[in-house]
Amino acid sequence: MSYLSNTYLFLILPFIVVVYSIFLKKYRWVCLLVASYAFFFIISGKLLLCLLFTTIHCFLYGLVIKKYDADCALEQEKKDIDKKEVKQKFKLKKKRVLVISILIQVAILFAYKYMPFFLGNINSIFAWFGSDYQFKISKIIAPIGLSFYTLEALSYMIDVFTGKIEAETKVYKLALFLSFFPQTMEGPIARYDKDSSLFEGNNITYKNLCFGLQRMVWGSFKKIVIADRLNPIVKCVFATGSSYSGFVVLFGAISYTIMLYMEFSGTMDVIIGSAEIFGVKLPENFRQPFFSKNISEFWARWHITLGAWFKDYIFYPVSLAKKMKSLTVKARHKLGNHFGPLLTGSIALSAVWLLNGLWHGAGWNYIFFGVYHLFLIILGNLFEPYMKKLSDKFHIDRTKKLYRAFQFVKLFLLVVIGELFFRAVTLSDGFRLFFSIFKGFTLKNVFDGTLMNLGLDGYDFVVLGISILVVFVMSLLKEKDIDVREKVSNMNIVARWILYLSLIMFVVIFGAYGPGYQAIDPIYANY
Amino acid sequence: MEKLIEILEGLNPDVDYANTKDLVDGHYLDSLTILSLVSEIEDEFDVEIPTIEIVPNNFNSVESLWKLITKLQKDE
Amino acid sequence: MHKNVFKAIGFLSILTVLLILTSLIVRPKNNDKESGMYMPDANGILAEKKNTIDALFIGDSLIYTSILPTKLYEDHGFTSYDLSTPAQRLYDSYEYLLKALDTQKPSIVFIESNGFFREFSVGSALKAKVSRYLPVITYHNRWKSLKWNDFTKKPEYSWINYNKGYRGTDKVKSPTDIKDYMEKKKEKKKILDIDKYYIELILDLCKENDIEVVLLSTPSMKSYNYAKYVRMKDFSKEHGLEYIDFNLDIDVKIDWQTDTADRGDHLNYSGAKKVTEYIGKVLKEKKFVDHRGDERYKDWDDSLAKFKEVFND
Repeated sequence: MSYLSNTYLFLILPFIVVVYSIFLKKYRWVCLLVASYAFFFIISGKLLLCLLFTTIHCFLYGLVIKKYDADCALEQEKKDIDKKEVKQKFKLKKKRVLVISILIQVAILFAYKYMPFFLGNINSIFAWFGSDYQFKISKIIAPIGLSFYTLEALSYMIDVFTGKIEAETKVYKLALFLSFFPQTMEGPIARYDKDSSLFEGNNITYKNLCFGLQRMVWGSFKKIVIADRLNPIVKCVFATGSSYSGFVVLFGAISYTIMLYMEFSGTMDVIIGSAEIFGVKLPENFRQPFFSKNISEFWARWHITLGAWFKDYIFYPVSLAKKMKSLTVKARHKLGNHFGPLLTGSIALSAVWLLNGLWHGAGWNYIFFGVYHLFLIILGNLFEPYMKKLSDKFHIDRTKKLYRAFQFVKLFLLVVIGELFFRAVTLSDGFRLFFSIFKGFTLKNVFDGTLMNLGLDGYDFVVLGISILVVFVMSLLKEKDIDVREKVSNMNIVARWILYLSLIMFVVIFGAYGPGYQAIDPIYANY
Repeated sequence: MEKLIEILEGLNPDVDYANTKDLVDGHYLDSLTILSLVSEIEDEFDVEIPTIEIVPNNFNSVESLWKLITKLQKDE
Repeated sequence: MHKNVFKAIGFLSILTVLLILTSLIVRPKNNDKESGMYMPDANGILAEKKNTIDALFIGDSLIYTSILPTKLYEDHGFTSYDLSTPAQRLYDSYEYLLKALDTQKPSIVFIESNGFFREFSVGSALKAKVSRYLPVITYHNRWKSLKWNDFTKKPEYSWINYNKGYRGTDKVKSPTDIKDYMEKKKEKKKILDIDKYYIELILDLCKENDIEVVLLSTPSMKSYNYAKYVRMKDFSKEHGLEYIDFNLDIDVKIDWQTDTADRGDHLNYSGAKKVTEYIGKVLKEKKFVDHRGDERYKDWDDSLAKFKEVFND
């Protein structure tokens, strides 16, 4: 099931909305929790126990930390005692609990998601050394959204440890936080907040309902009209053993990047819109990423909550660890203000991108995907001072439109190449596709009908062109800080309804669904 | 405060620090620059910035950064 | 509050009107492939003369590869139709039956039991239901091929399917291994609740219309196994229905070396003839009417002639 299936949109969600609004405000969390667990159970069955385990683990962990804090304060009250020493003692205790807890969570994640990959690689090493022993690899089905809720659980544990948030004493709140049904499958990865609107049982107001539905229709437009329609091209070009000429492969790779963006951000709109109906504000996951100036900014604006997680819980802790800090200071004195921190930063970045690649899946192509971005970001930073000097020398104004357009194209192509490896079935297939871009590249293919053999006809391309343009213009407006949603809601009712109805009818008529079309499976639900 | 602006300008001179209120959210300071900034501040003001304080809210403007520094100095 | 409720109702009404209008435009104006009809083979029934079909076969691909309505007519003069589509879900079976009953009054319906074990989501069943009333759900893609008369004409179904729903071939592809086929095992295959729900709907619909129901398991090495067989035995007993199973109970001398088109999954023409012969006997016992020579059924003779031409038989 996906969030764009009829079952979710027209049965599950409306049903939950109705039941929710019947409940007393005070008990609405019960409704949401039961609904979320049922939703999880429908998809993953008994694996709900995994989620339950993580929830209880978080809860007990919080209690233990709380107890230590209380004991610590109590002991500090005593006379003739070195307060700092006591604090240090308890900090050590807390740290031990934290490390064990993190290990447990990571072990579960590892067991479900990386075991086959890990064992597969060990087997090849064995075989390489001529050993006959091979591990049996059985395919394991992971609980839905495991990668998402595990990160949420880890952030809760770490935040409680550092004192950023207080340990939660009400287990139902943690349970709901980790299981809230719109987030179950694809995030966004939220941070725990005890005052979250999630626990308030807000009334379903007319405004929330309209805004939520509006956003969901917009998301369906991106997913059903654009992403699903691009599916045949992507399938053709990325099929193993396909042999297309350079231009077509590039075209397919670009299609995939657009498809991925529309699929993921569109589903996100549906998810955030669903939550909005209940008055719950989920964190945004996209901020017009393609308008970024460079790759590192791109990743701060695409799948934002994942990037932020890695920044807060991997990048800073690693780069600001005591030893790393002194390394930074030393390097800065030797290499200067720019390259010094870059050295330590790069070490931390390596950890981030390796994990980022692995998070997306156990496969060498994902690891390459991470390493690729790591290199782009480090190279970008290495050359930044020279680029600056160069552009100063030639009086290139980096804020000019022409330069921005160049940046846009450059960034887009870099992303397309990264996503090509991301989509490729195996790493070697990724390389094969990448190199075939340069074989027989000819723009003649635009006109000679090659593109018509990829499963789409001229009509499809027209619909795609118009729809992508609409999304582009909307993003541009948003980038310029023009709130289209607010503007639309201030229009008079006739204009507003015409707009809404046109959008809905556009999705109904021009959506790529029904006989002859195959909707893409939710891409991020597998991570 | 002037000292702080001086440090910031040393890292990236193209920004109008006095008036910009979205240094992080507007991507004027990326995570690598923040690393340099943190170590510079720690040297200059003799404080230690814990990881939990490295959030956009504290780094978005010179004022908020200054507030953080004075708070940390008091804690010492 | 009330104002908002009215607004919502108003909005939904306009939306519904728009959906109905577009549905009228995009629905196919005839039942053939060229007019954009989805599953024309099964929808060929729409053009059959009113109340001329006596028996219906509903189910998935096993039906349209196993049952030859033209042969039933040739041998006995019985008129029938294969209301079958690839991987037919039970909600589709139900919808096709409803559609057929608009113009036909069959006295018997054979239901292929393989569909009883097929999983589907409530959402897809809902979609099938809605698209019966709002064909735009199924036919929206016809915006690409709209012609002027799509805006002006009402549908008129005139395409007679001489195959009467049969879609098999005379190719032969023998299976590599037939060892495990129908091997005795302990477990019984479960029928899911959602399937049960639709089976009940279909059975009730037949009861209301005085239609006899016969359950059918046509020969298939890939689709059938002992677990399904035992379950169907139980099921037919519980519901007091006749159950014809060709995999274990009834031997029509299927030779898997020559009678399958795809390594034992579906029968080919020669296999279908064997199954159809048996069904003919069953219908004969039930005293079905021989329509051969009847002026009203003349187009069946044309269909039969065309069919024989194509299959060289």
